Amino acid sequence: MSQYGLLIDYEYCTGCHSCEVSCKNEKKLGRGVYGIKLAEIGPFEITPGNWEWNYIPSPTKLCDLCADRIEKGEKPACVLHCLGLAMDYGPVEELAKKMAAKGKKMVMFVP
Amino acid sequence: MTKEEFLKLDDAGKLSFLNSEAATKDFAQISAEIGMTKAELGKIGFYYVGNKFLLKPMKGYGTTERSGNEYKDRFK
Amino acid sequence: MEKEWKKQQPDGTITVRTCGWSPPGDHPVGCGMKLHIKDGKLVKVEGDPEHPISQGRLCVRCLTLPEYVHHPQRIIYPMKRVGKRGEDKWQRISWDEAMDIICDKIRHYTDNYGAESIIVFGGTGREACLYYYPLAFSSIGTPNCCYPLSGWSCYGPRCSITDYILGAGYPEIDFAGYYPDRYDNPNYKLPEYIVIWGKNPLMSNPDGFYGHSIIDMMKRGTKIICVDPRIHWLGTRAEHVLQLRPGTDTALALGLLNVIINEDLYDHEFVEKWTYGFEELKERVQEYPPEKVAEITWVPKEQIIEVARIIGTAKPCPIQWGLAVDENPNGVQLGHAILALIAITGNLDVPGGITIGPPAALMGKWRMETRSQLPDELWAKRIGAEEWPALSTAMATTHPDETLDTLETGKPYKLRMGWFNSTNFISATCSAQPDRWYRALQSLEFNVVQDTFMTPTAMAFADIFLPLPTFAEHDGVVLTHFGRNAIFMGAMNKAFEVGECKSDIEVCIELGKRLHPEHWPWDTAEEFFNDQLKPEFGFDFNDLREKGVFQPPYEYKKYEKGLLRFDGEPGFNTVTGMVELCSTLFEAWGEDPLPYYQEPHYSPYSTPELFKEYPFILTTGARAFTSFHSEHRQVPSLREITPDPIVEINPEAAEKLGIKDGDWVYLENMFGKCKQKVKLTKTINPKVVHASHGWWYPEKPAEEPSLFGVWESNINTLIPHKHIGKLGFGAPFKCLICKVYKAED
Repeated sequence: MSQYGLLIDYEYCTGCHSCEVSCKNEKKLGRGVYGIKLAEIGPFEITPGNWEWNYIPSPTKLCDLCADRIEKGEKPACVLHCLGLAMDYGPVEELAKKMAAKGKKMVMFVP
Repeated sequence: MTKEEFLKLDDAGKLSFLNSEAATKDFAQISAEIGMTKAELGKIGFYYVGNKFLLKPMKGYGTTERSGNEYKDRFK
Repeated sequence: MEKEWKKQQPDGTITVRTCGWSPPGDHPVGCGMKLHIKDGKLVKVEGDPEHPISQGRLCVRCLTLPEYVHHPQRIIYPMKRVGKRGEDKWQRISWDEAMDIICDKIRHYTDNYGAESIIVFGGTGREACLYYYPLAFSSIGTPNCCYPLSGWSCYGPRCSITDYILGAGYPEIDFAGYYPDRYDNPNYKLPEYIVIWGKNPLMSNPDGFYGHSIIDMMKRGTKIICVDPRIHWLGTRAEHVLQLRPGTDTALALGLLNVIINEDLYDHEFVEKWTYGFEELKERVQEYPPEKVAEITWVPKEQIIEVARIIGTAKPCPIQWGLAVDENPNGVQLGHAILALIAITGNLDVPGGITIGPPAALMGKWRMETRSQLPDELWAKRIGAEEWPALSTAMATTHPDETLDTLETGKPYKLRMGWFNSTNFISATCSAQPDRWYRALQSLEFNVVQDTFMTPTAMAFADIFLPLPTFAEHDGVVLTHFGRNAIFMGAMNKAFEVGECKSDIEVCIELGKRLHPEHWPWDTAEEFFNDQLKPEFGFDFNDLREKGVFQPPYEYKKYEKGLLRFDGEPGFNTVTGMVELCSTLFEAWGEDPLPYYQEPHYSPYSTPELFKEYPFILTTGARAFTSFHSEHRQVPSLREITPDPIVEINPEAAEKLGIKDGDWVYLENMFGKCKQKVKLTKTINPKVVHASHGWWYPEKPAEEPSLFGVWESNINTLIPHKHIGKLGFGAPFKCLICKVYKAED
């Protein structure tokens, strides 16, 4: 059986926190405990007018890629709710192809 | 025409009267004739633009008439 | 979408599909979601993948709705005050008793002082925006319905300018919202560029525009240009950010027009056939060459020219205008100039350009029509209507600044009773100098407040508190842009009940039936919606529920087909029948008919002496994902993400003041001061600071003088009263000056 993962297109992660909160709802997690948590890098200016400012959600070991939801034919909670539609779930081989096809600002997690 | 007579006309009648007057008279004369100022005429939707009178077709929320472009009118 | 909107799950949970609006606040975005109800409680909210616009996505405000709905501090029964105003002493009463008390008071004031002695205040964005007008005109019978923000500086100016210049409903960028298959629809064309002017749609979901549609379009290839004093996240993904000095937007717009016209980049056919006053505009923009505009705005000349060339040549290139158009005394001219840019570059009412709606449709029209139920003599008493025709022609409200003057002076008559629907405007939301409003409002003898929580405004003024249900607890219809450009319409479905709450329309009906039964033939909200929907669309509320979402078809280039004008002739619904680049109406109201730049009332150039004492340009009000203006501060999960009011300062400027990241500072100017927490960021100019609005502290003492700490971080105390434009619109919420110093306490 294939290994599954989460693909994040951080060119379009807008930092909305929907992944964090929907994961907490799904997993019934208390305050300060996360199944996925948003990290912020930047903003800083590389050359005039050229900014780096990224949000990247990182799954923790509480993440089971929403096995229950997958079983019901649904998407993982974070993937469904992501406002930028910047998250994807699937077999790592497929996700790797998507990463390569886009060619920038992609990261894959296998929690 | 007196102010009272003028106000009794409907919008189309008012417009046609004002423009028949505007063919030979300037704004000040017409304003004096019907005893209404520029502001008063504006309030009921009539504006003097380039030697003729025009009617503001939609009086914002002052009017409750159908605008004519409601959904049902546009897509029958 | 699936026909079945309510489902019983095997574990006993009931799942109800709905489209969200408010409360808690948001604009009519209508995001699709599923509400999971167990044992009468909302246990979970998740996105609805079938919804054509939101497609399963959902922001944190809806995801945390259970915390809001079942919050221990929520008010869920009608209450009457049993202590003094400002004391937290209340007694639960029945709806019947509340209505008896209210109706007695309304009759008393109407009989003794005239219905105009009663005033209804409404807040922004919430569903109440559809209902506080009929509440005033039709249920109570007063002509005085007030949105208290100085210069009506939110949405109203843009709607009015559009009415006068285009004769149309709200202009929105075409994000294929009309089509079930969205961006793939053959009638649609993807914008080559989108200019986002003074707006952050990702967070604000403005007026029903689904903000992250911008991201959808970027992924398909649309490029972005931002006009903003701050480089926000979207700015870092934009091809250009015109980082202008706050309040100088109109000069920039005129500079762009200068380049586009002088370099002959405009759409000649459109200009010749469909515009009025092009030659005059052409002459006017000669006063704004890029060199001069660069000096005024601090945007480099080369960048102005480059962006102007893009706007002139990219097809399509819609401009999405933001709140910065409204919150500026020079904003009418800015809005006019932006509409001119859109029109002369051929981006009006074309695929992927700017869509325009009818002036007011469906319930957007009904709410205004109710004003015909008032006799003309009474309607003429509307506060400020006579003095400010440019405002009162398009807006059915009082003039906000005149309303404060009336409260303070008792002229032209004394206001005696207030009704506050979904507005907490002594917090830093929709009022300038809220401390002054707070003092002036003390003169009201009797007040009703409709809300979900005890807010500072309710604590200070309510005599009767009527609890509102959240959108999960009542039936309704959500339509984008409040009906002024209804891109889609969604059914809002009641899924459960908490306490004894009644929605805006239910209160309108109940009160209306007691006081003016001739205007209120409906017994329930559903009957009301059936009557609204059926004649216009041929389906009723239950049909809409089963559809989930209804997307009306859209017709482009309506001006060619006689679909805009009342008389069915081609053209626009304006005085001249054209897009008025030179405005007949502005001239009639004593204003310059052409757009012009006016320096902000307080700035390094207009008040150089004062600027020495207050050496920062202050801009305010950027949005966050975690709140809607003053709402959501009591929701723990949201407060965890955004715990404090943030002021953004450039590190270079902060260093000179000995201020570090995370310090609490005072912002102070001639009008007031407040305390916020510093976030150092290079995304803002060292001469500019940005402060947050809408802050109060539900965890702080409720009673006077604290009122939940409403005065501590209240940025609007720094914004002056009645610094408005010549036509009565616009106030300097985004272009003031202040000083910053460390808070030692």
